[in-house]
Amino acid sequence: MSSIDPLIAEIKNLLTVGTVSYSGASAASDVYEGFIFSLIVATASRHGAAVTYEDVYGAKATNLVFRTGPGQLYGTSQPFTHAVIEFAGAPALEVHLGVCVQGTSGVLHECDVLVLPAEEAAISRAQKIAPRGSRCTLIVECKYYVSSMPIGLARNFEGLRADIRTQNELFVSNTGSPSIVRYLDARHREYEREVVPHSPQSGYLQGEVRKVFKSYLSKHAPSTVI
Amino acid sequence: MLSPEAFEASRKGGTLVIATRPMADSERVELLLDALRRVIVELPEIELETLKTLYAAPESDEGTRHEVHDVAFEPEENARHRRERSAVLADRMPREQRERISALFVNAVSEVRS
Repeated sequence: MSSIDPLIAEIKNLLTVGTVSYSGASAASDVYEGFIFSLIVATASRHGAAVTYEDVYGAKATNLVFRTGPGQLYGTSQPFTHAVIEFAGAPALEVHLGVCVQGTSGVLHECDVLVLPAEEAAISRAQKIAPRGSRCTLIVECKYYVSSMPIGLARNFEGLRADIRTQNELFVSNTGSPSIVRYLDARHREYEREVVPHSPQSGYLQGEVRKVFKSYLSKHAPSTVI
Repeated sequence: MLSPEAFEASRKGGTLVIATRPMADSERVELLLDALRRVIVELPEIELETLKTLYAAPESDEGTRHEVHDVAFEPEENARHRRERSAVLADRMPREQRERISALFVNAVSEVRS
């Protein structure tokens, strides 16, 4: 018996019930950025950090609110939240989703996931200016695609990192593209593809994030071992 | 040959694939099945795994992580893209159903290839 008919029946049922509904323009990307956020905070706590969540006013949060589109880190139109990561002996870090960062040219760039020192984030909130890319610890460009990814994404990433000059950058996607692999590899850029739940690549990404934390600690708290 | 209208629609949509040969029907079907699988099986699983990670206080970790009760995405008040809508991460599909549909996709791809 063909498996096509039962598959069509299942899909019809899902659509009727509304179980699967990613109708918003940015819904799939948001879900994926949330997943990468969860991997970063899980990596931090696994390696000894205390992870809490705060909103833009500094209040502790248990209900996380992220932006559907890029905005300013200091924006108060909603009580947007971020994670606070504290390793022993080191200044705190913050993890944000979908915020703008200022490049060395003065141009603002959109970052899918941003890890930066809490001090730089506090300056951003106090002075209502975008954080400086060169002061940030990590940017992660997240791409969720249901079909092949165009090479332009990698070129954009290359342009982004050239202007932002962040200490670390990662390009992460749920699918793979040979041309993007070749393009980024030729430039010695970190690219983790096929990062989805239960994949070995999720673990590899967490390994890369651990390296970033390790490098941060080597500068600020050399006695802390992770 | 791509018509000018199709080219423009693809360009505006942000995706344009230039191939060196026309795709076979079976290849097109396989691509469509993979795209459907990602939306119907993969994305709900990503949502579920995100919530599992954030909801749970880690027991075996060296550090600590506060529990999360809810994860939502909200547009900025002055959002540039009016199509943006609020969304709440949720466990959308029972595991058995997801596994059943996932198996159906695997079988469908096998049928297309055979």
